[in-house]
Amino acid sequence: MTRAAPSPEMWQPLATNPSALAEGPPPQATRGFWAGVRSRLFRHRPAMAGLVFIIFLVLAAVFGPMASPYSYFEQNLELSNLPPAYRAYTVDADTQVFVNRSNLSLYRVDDQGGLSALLRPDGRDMISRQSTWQIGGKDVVLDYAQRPPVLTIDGEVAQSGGLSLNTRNPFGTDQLGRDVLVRQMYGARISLLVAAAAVLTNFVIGVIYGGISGLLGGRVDAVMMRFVEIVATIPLTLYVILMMVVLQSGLLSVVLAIGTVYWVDMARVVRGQILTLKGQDYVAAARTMGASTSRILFKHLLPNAFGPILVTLTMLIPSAIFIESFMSFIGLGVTPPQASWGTLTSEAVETLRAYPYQLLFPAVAISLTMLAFNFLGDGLRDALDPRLSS
Amino acid sequence: MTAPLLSLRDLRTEYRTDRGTVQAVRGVDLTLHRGEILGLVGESGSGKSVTCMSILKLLKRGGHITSGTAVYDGTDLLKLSEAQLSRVRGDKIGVVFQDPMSALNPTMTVGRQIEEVLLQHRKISKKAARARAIELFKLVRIPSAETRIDNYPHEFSGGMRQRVMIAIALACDPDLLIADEPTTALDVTIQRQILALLKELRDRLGMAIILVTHDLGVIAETADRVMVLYGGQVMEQARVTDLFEAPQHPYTRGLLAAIPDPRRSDSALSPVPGSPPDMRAPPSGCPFAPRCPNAMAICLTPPDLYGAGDTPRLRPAQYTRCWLADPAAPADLMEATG
Amino acid sequence: MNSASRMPLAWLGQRVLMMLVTLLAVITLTFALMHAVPGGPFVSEKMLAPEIEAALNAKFGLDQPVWRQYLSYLWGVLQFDLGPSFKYPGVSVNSMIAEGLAVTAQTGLLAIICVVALGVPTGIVAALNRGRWPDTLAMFVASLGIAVPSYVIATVSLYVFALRLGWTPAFGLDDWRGYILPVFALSGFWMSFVARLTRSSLLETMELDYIMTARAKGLPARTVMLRHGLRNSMIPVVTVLGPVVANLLTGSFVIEQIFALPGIGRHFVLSITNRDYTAIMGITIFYAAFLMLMILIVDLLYLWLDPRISYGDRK
Ligand SMILES: Nc1ncnc2c1ncn2[C@@H]1O[C@H](COP(=O)(O)OP(=O)(O)OP(=O)(O)O)[C@@H](O)[C@H]1O
Ligand code: SF4
Ligand SMILES: [Mg+2]
Repeated sequence: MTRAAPSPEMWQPLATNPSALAEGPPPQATRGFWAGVRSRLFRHRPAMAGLVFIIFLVLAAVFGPMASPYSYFEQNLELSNLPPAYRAYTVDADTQVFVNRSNLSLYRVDDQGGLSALLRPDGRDMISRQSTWQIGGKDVVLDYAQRPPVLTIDGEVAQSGGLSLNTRNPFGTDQLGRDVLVRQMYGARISLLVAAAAVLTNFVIGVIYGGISGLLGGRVDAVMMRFVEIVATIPLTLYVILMMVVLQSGLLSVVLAIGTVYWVDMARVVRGQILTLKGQDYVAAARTMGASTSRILFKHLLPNAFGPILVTLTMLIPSAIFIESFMSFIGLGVTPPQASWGTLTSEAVETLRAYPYQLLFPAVAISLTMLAFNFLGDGLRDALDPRLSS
Repeated sequence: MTAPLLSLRDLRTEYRTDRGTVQAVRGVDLTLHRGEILGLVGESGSGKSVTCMSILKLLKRGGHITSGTAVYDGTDLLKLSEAQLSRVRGDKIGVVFQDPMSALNPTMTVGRQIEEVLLQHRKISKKAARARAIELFKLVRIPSAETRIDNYPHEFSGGMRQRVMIAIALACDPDLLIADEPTTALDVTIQRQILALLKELRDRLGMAIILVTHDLGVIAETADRVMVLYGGQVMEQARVTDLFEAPQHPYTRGLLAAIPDPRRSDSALSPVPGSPPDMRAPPSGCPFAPRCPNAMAICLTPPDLYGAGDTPRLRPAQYTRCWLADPAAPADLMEATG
Repeated sequence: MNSASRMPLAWLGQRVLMMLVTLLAVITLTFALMHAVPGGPFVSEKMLAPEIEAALNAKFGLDQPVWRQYLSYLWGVLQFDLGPSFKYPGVSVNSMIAEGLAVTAQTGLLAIICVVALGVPTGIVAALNRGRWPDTLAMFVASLGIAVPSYVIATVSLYVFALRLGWTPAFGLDDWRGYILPVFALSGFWMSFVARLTRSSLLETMELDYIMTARAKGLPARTVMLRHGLRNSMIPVVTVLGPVVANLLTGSFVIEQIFALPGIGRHFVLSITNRDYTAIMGITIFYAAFLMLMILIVDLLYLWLDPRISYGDRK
């Protein structure tokens, strides 16, 4: 051994508390469970992106329609199917116009850059397929014998300017001249409303059903779970559809139908949790101390089953949003003039050939929302199950 | 003396997890001769399994061997590619895992699981492989081998499954068998049978065995030599009789003191007060210092592994990693503890 | 043991009995629901075409008490007769289903094939490349596939590929290319779901002890993954195949509407908008029966896949 001989005092017994010698475990191990969950969730980037989007969506859904100068139902047929962005033609110094080539109308561009007024043609020649306008002393002619139609100003083919934004209706208008932006935000409202209502009713029914089944156990449990099994054999969408047939279309019916059908998963999760927790000591202790069943359920079991319940609820939200929009898309959901992302999509499909961009907004909105909730749910599940996180 | 069959030098293995890096093995040396049974003991988490599995680079996700050599029959296994290693695994070196309940594929008949390893390493027909599998079943004493061979693992008891595992490990007549707690999951009578079987196989086939266990009773009965692991390091190493007669390391003494009769085989190890160190941040000095009744100021610096040349109290082939064995240690200290 | 001895006839009989009970519940429920419609479709004063009135009277006896109507309907269903349409004179619900079945079955089958034949390999490739770009890419696309509703996939792809690029017809199945978009839209979600499930299940399986045993035997990494990892990791995937079939059915409602395919789903949605109550009832019952059959098949597949399962011992 090449080491220098140790000094004599080194051989003295170690006086300090021996446990102090071990460097303490990293801080993570001592932190509470929920703190760990929170920090894992915050580190989950997609989940955080989802959360930010959801917050934004909620704000838009709650305050957007209030802030908008338009209402979701107010029609203006003169200003239908206007785009969110357009190319204008300059007629004279203070008149710019926009040509909607699909319906052959001319709109005046106002000072703010919005498309705010339909210009009625002064003459219309059905034979030679031309419409004519007199604007500021100039002859404006739209020749739709040609494809695509050509606009001439005083006989000269007009050249359009650059792309400008429609400031009056940032998302354009639909086929009834309603503001798409406010309808989008209203659609968000419906989606979130349905999601919240569905989650709430499912939570209540699921917890009560699963709770009773799990707590009572035995024959009651067997019968109740058999029933759940039977219910779950048929796709829940089918029940929702049947319910809608009975209840007639409308927002309330959608909420009712989804709320009364989708509790099955929740009931199973709650029951499973209760069965695992039931065997644990503190429940037995509470029972011997004379706590009532409902007290045990709400004071002891549910707080512990909170994690899996939370995950199930978060996963339920996108299902509810999807099913509402799905129902509305096939015409069994909310009734016009109410706007949901499903009805907005199906309305956009009606005008798909002429105004394909109208499909963009509801499609993107629902997809992003679903993505956001899915990401949040995934993140939550990973965060609650440390074993899974890598 | 002939060259050892296997020689590990300064093996270091760590597991990188999202909660920090676990230094599972921190510089283990190990020598094994042909036909020898080497026992590896230590508390849970001391690094026994990781040491064994590192030899064949059989590490789960996150496991990395950061240094060391494992020379087997002249080649350093740690330098081999996966493809080259797979020619050693199952053929030259067989492995029996800790938990027989989960170590067999549940969706494959046990026969196929044995035939598989034969077909992989030997140029034989399926029929011959099956015949050999039945023969192996008889070797490990599984009754009605011919019919049981077509059963699935869940149709066997734990002890029988462990026999199947041993049959798989023995299929290609390995020179070395790594048996990671082959009996921990089993009850005492089965445990005795399996250990007797291993010993008998060693005597008959002449293979070397690394036998991992929690249980000093098992060591006393089966092993020739024993290594005591703690905190990813070798604490003491000796011939079995020497370890029981003249244990040098305070940890070994603690283990032995807790067993009234070392021949009793149902005595599991967990008697030393205190708990093992967190291997994400192991103590910088002697890993046992926080629990050691003899701990001294100097124990905050890591002790060396001392051999018979350093102190007269160590017997030949006995080594201990403890400051008490340092030649400079005051004689009265040794009196007090010895 | 072979799979037959693990599935005694008693079990099969019990299963079929359970199916019949469930079916009875579904029949009762749909019948009750359709009779609960406000104003009541089966109220006899309803203005119906005389032929339909006559057919319904013959079938249900609309002037009879409800329980009699129920029993006669039940009797009909037992004989595989779902009764006359409520809206179309001379058309039976059976013939409606028969007419749409071919279309729905074709697209549905193709969709299932896509789910398995594309979803599973994608998941395997992602698992093999864990953490590298093929994994990231596949899982990103799968996240989209799970999030984007089928009707959005359908309408957007309809616009892009049919209207804009003209690669596929916009509706109908006259041409093989007509199948591409509906099948893609129908299977998008489940393809993504199965890809993710396969990936996570395979990765989880590869962490199990017997995989280590397989490696310790000296098997090459590929053999370990394919022979020991894959089969076991397919067990959860097979479990979702039941729900897949169910959801392809409901998915077909909207897909058949968008692509104007004359399948059962389209008939179903039409009957709803037409308030063709007997058709709604009949098609629902048909769906339920079909699904239970599928679930039975999945259970049998399970039996073959996992030797630990024994339906005989189950109480
Ligand atoms: N897959 C893994 N991931 C992370 N850490 C691991 C892993 N496997 C082992 N470890 C860590 O490595 C250290 C040594 O573990 P090892 O399995 O070798 O202990 P052992 O002595 O075999 O214990 P046991 O008697 O319980 O089998 C432990 O601290 C353990 O936590
Ligand atoms: S080195 Fe010190 S602390 Fe470690 S075992 Fe020896 S005496 Fe105890
Ligand atoms: Mg171990």
